[in-house]
Amino acid sequence: MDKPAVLIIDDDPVYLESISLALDDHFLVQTVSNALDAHKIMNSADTSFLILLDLQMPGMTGVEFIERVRRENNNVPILVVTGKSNHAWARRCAELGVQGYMDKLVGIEELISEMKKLLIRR
Amino acid sequence: MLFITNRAINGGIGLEVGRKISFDMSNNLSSQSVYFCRRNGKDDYAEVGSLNFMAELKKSNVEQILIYIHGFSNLPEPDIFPRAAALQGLFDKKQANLVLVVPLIWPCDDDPGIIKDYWDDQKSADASAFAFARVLEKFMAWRTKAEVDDKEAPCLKRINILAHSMGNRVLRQTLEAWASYDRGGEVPLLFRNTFLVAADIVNESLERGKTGDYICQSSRNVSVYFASDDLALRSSKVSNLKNKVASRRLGHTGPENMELVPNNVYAVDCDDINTKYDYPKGHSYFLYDERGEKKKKTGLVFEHILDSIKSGRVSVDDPLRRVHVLK
Repeated sequence: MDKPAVLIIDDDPVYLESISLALDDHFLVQTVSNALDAHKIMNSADTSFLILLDLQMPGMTGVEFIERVRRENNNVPILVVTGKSNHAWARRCAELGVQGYMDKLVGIEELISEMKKLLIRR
Repeated sequence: MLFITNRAINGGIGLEVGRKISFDMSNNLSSQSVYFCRRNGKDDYAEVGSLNFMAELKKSNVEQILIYIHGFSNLPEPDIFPRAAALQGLFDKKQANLVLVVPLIWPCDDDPGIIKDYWDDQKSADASAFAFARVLEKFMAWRTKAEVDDKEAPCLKRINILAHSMGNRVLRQTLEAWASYDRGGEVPLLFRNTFLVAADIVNESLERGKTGDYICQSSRNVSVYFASDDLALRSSKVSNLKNKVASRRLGHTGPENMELVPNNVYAVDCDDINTKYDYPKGHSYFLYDERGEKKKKTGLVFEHILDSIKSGRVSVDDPLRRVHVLK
């Protein structure tokens, strides 16, 4: 069976390095360092992705990315994985129908389990 | 990612838990202060404090800790953190919650000119010993206090060390300073495995009575990964000619004489793979096998390290001579 495709959007190359290595036995992992490029990839790809999204990024923020995607009626599953969070961001993400919200410090097992749950629901 | 450093920081040296800190990357002054920190993102670091740091490691859901000591001419963002992250990713891929990688960052820089760069980094490595000996003393004090207070369960996590290149010099000098100044000439058995990869120290260092003997005393197993065609170690030989020392490096030959080193030292010959994993230098070969279609497949050195971490034993072809060839 083909591995499910995951697009990880994060401006931190160090996080992208570790997370893509840890996930690539389970998922077809693609990484991108900014939300604008991620949007382009989503629009040009044939595959549908599960999105792992950081919130605090230069240029388009994670929240702005979700707003744009939802405006386009794209209900792609999004799992926010953030190192810095606050109540306003979390509430806005919930309003925008984000499917999951996790801290970056979460263990890899828990992250994979949450990703698989989201993919089953899809 | 949690990390420890003795890089000089911009700002006061007093502890302030939670404060953001930054480093002057062109400054390779070895501070005698140590900082227990968290990396939140690129160039975004916060001071955690030693007690919080150790408590956080204790309560984390990983089984073992791997302290990673980097080599020379490595800077945090372009070099050290990505490599530590790669190590973490490979461990997570193999077994989630097995290992947490904690970089120990000493203040080398990346001056132009490899010989000059090498030479001042070597001084910086030596000068870092006292700062990191303080880290070990802080750990012992934290552990003893927990035992005396008897308020909480002891920390059962195993600690391993991976020292790469000149990081081996940092480790050797740290343990020597710690033994000499704080521990009455001895060191406790603190570590489960010590992995010496491409070690830039003299190949007699681990022999009984030599300065590196403390590495063997402090660890259940000591695995020496070496490759005779490691080109980066050539600059070490050339640099040390300045002092009329034409030494063989441990990372080139392995221990000079296995009969003179303690019985917990294992020699792992990486000649067949080092330049395949890291072409042309053959120096940083403990992560991926980048050959073939699947980039970033775990390499044989990494697999060997992983096996030792899991089992607490070092598997070798020849248990009597304690030597192994990776191929």
